Amino acid sequence: MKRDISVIGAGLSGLYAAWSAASHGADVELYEKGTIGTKHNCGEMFTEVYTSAPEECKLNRIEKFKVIIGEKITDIDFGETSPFVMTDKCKHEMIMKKRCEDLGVVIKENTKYPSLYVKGRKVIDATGVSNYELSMGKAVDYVCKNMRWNTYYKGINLNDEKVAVFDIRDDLMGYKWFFPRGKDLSNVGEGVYYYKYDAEIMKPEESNIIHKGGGLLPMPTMNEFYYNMTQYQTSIRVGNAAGLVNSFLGGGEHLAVISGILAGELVAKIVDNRYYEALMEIIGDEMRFGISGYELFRKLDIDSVSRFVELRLADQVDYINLNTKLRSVIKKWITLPSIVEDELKMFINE
Amino acid sequence: MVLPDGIIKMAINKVISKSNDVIDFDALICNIGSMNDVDKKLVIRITDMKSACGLGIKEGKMVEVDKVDKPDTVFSMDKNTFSAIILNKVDHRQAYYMGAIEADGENWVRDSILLGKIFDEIKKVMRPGAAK
Repeated sequence: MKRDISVIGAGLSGLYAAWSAASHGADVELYEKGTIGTKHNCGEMFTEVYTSAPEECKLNRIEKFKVIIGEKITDIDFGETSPFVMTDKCKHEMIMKKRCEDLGVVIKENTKYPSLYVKGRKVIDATGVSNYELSMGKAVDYVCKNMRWNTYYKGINLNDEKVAVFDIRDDLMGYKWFFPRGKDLSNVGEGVYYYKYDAEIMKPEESNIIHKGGGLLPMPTMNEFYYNMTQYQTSIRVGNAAGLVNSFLGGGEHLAVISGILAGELVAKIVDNRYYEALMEIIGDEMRFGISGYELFRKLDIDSVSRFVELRLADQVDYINLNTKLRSVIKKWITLPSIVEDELKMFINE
Repeated sequence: MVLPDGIIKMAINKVISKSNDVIDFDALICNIGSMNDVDKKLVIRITDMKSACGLGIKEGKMVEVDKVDKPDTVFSMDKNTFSAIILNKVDHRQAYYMGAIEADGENWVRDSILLGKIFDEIKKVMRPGAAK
């Protein structure tokens, strides 16, 4: 049976996209190169403003935030109705897998999809952060020595006060986060920014926000998101693959879910690749700067965040030199193999 | 051992014809780029050949390098590097970081991501079983 839609990648965004498309009547196949629900050994913070995480995967609610930039410390108390909740990501994925199966989605685990860009096929690209970006991250990691790229630890006993801490370095090159522990899962990490547009994510006046049902969706840049969502010819990206990551609002979990749900609905309804019109139909006049979004940013201390972004954008970091350093480090690790003529001949004749 | 120019040209021709049969480069470029990238022109130039040689992306098609005027970004590499990448013996990102690929262009960081995607897709199309 020919399936309408192929979803590539069964992380949360892919699972939600497949589930959403199937629940709108599409025949969906879902490819995952690994095994669903096995990749994560940490908890994840999920922002419940657009939609809720399934109850079964929730660990505990984060009520307080502490944002540290240099010597300035800002405490934010969201109280018991805080929208931030720690979740067990593996369990979340397994729940969504079951929901997909119940709707008849054909799930192909340990299977690679041949190409994302095969002509004439409807594809949702949920392949996550690209290898290139990961390799950049790992390289930055090495140079910055005391920093790690999205490093997680299992079972660290951080605090029981339900406080999430963001500690941004004075030189604005990196930040740490400490999410409170829930059961045996926590989430601690250190990250670095290596693209200027990473910082743009956190600049509310330059980010657009889709607001629907009280939710928000901060985007990499105003144009880029519309372009990514609407201008594809044969595929649409969701989750991390679409750059939907926001360090301050809990990684990309809720963004993965929101973009997955929207894209699934969009692609299921679309008849002739008119993505833009379809997106407008789904979101309609709610596509605007979301008031809730601004309120949330304000609570996160807009001055601190803006200052951080300003300095980031003012070329405080020399990206070109950083890149040169990375290359000099990596050069030591790798040797380029010599190719013999026969190998190329085989390639040509295959 | 020096790889003959003729073999490289044959490999390039094979990459061009087979990729164009399968890959929708318009879609690929749109997926990576921004509004300004609609007419993006990229070039992969092989540096150690007697005549200008390489691959280009223009108007959503893969073409020979001499058919691309004023590319946005030029990636330069030698014959051995190009061969090692298409034979999947080295990752293009590693090749870049070890200095075997040079990038020149205004938005080369973003275009490097695009180049990575292009190589990823080419490798899948050319050697589906061997692609990482």
